[in-house]
Amino acid sequence: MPQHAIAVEGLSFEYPGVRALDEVGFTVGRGSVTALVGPNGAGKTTLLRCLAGLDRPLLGAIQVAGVDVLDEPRLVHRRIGFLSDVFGLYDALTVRQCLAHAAAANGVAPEKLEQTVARTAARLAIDQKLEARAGELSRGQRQRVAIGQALAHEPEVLLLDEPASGLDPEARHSLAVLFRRLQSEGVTLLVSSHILAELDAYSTHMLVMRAGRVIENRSLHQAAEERRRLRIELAAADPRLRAALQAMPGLALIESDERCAVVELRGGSAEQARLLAALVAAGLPVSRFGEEREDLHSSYMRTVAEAR
Amino acid sequence: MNPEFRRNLWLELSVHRVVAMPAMLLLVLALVYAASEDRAGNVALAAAVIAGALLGIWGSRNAVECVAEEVRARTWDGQRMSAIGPWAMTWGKLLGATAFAWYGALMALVVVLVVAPPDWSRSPLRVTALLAASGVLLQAVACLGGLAVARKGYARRGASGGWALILILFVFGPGMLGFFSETARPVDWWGGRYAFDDFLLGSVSVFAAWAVFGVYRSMAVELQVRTLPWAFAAFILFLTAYFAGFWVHGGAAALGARNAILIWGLLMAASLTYLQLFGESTGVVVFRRVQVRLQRGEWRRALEEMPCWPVGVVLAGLFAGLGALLLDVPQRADSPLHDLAGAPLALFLLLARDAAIFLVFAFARQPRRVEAATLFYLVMLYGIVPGLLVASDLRGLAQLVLPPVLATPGKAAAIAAVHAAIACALAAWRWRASRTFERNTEA
Repeated sequence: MPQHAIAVEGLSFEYPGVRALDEVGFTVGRGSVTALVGPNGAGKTTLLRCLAGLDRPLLGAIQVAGVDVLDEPRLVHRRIGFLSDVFGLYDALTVRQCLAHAAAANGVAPEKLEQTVARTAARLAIDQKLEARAGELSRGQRQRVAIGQALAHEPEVLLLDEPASGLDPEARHSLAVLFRRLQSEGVTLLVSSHILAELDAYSTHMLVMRAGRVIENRSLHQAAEERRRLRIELAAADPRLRAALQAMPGLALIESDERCAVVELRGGSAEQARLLAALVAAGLPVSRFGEEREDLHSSYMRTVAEAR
Repeated sequence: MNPEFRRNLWLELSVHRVVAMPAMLLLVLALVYAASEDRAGNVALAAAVIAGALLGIWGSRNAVECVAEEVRARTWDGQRMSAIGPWAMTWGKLLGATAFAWYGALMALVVVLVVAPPDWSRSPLRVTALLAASGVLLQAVACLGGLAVARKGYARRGASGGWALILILFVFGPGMLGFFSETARPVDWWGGRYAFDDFLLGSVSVFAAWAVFGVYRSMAVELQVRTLPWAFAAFILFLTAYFAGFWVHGGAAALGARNAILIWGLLMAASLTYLQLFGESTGVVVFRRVQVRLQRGEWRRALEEMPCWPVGVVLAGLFAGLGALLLDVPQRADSPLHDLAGAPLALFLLLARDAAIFLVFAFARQPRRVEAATLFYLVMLYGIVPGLLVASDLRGLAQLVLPPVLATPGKAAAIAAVHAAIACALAAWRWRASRTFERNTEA
């Protein structure tokens, strides 16, 4: 079994007069949830459509779920699910019919259709709406049916383009819960969204695109292991705080005054313990010492700033 | 069951519709029965007309919409990503989207078979077979038109392929009317003589098979199945053989098999090239992919990525070249056909020019309404400008705009060559200009 759920190399895509993807290369590990982020026009939707085998690139190689997308687009379709940012439903069909059609069209055996529909509806919490026509559903319910259609055939990889756009906070929360559950079941997710706070709730990796290029692809947890952001507070103001921190190796001072400082420490828990011990040994009245987790938004903004 | 066929049945055959159709048929036929003298004959005729209308109008309308509607509803990408193969998608859509029309038409055709009197002017069996074959033909052509419209992106703007229907009715309408006329004459074809009814039924059936095959090939392209353009070349050769057959007999128009094949080959290759040019995805993106494949020596992949219409241009060039060498024209200098050997070359060069004009617009940095812009200039070049010049007594100038292919074929070929060279140079310039890129402007 290939190590990566998605492996892209030298991918280029052109529209008339526009190079939308410029020698893009990256890998996505199995069972990860990767947040695909970037400004408008970065090439996110084009990338997802190429990965889904819907658009043919000019150059490059794409492997999804172990299948060469350019050589075997039909085969890869059976192994992935794709939710477009501008999805549609068969409004005249009931939710049950929509899910049954999606499952059957994606190769689910006829004898398993009923069971598949029931399971998918329960997963998406739309089992109470099975007999309702798709055209009568709310925006959030339609989104769930569309995700259900993409999931019905139990794909190994799920590609989602702006899945939470237009959803209310409650619906977004249940979407995050669903994605975490899918990840725990071994499904690989690549999710494009502008709502970074929402992606933060379930992403394990971040893939940043800008002007048709990948400028960062890293694990969010790995980053936390290698580089920790710590917040230090003293019980009383002490002018020695800044100097003491500046003198310590492997430490970057982000902001500080006489009572409070935010630093970035290179290393793990051992380095963190040594820093605390050094501050206490220096006679500083440390009242709070803890990790300040960098959220996806900060991480993205820092990546973009570094790329400039 | 084919999932696409089943989805269409869910949409098309509601309980109400299933009950309403036979009731409506019964009422209409009862009215005809009550109101006419030749009751059996008229009921059979009314049933045939109803079947024809259901299949030809309602069925074709649904067939033309079956893909366009999905594009508009944004469900087509989901279908393209499904595991349904091109053949299953073809028959699932063709029979599924038209299921209600066929449901009513089949009942009407059974009425024709059962009710038609023994002395009816046409064999009931032939009538039903012809109506059924015509239905398949019209619906498949309508579906092809709908696919072309969807591929060109017009479906999102609410257009459908109604023009394809008009075209096919225009082409086959006279023949169909002839079937019901008492004076339909036997058909001479490739030296044989055939009863008109048999020939028409055979022709419609064969064309229906080609049309369904065309839908299958088009669907294969949509569903990312890699195909080589041999089917398009085969269809041109089939049409050449079919139409040339009408010229190969002992009548006054007989030109001999070689001439017939060369002339019809050129005409069919040119006609289908125009159709494909306006119906296929053609532009910088497509040709750039072909160019990259060629540069990398991936010949098969280049052929798979290439649109079909260049195959038509190549075949037209082949027929034109062979025509220039082998066309058997009268040798007498006073014959109007004396210099006809230059005509195929001139026609081919005009075709090349028109294709290049299309590319000039297709290679624009932001191509918009490529087909409409091309049509506008073709109408100008073939009609309005030469018409104006002739009306102004500037015949010499008019011939420079519209080369006189039949009057002076040699001169026409020279003028058409200049036209083609200018259009090709413009297309090449547009191609080079399209190769400068902006970044970060994707919508």
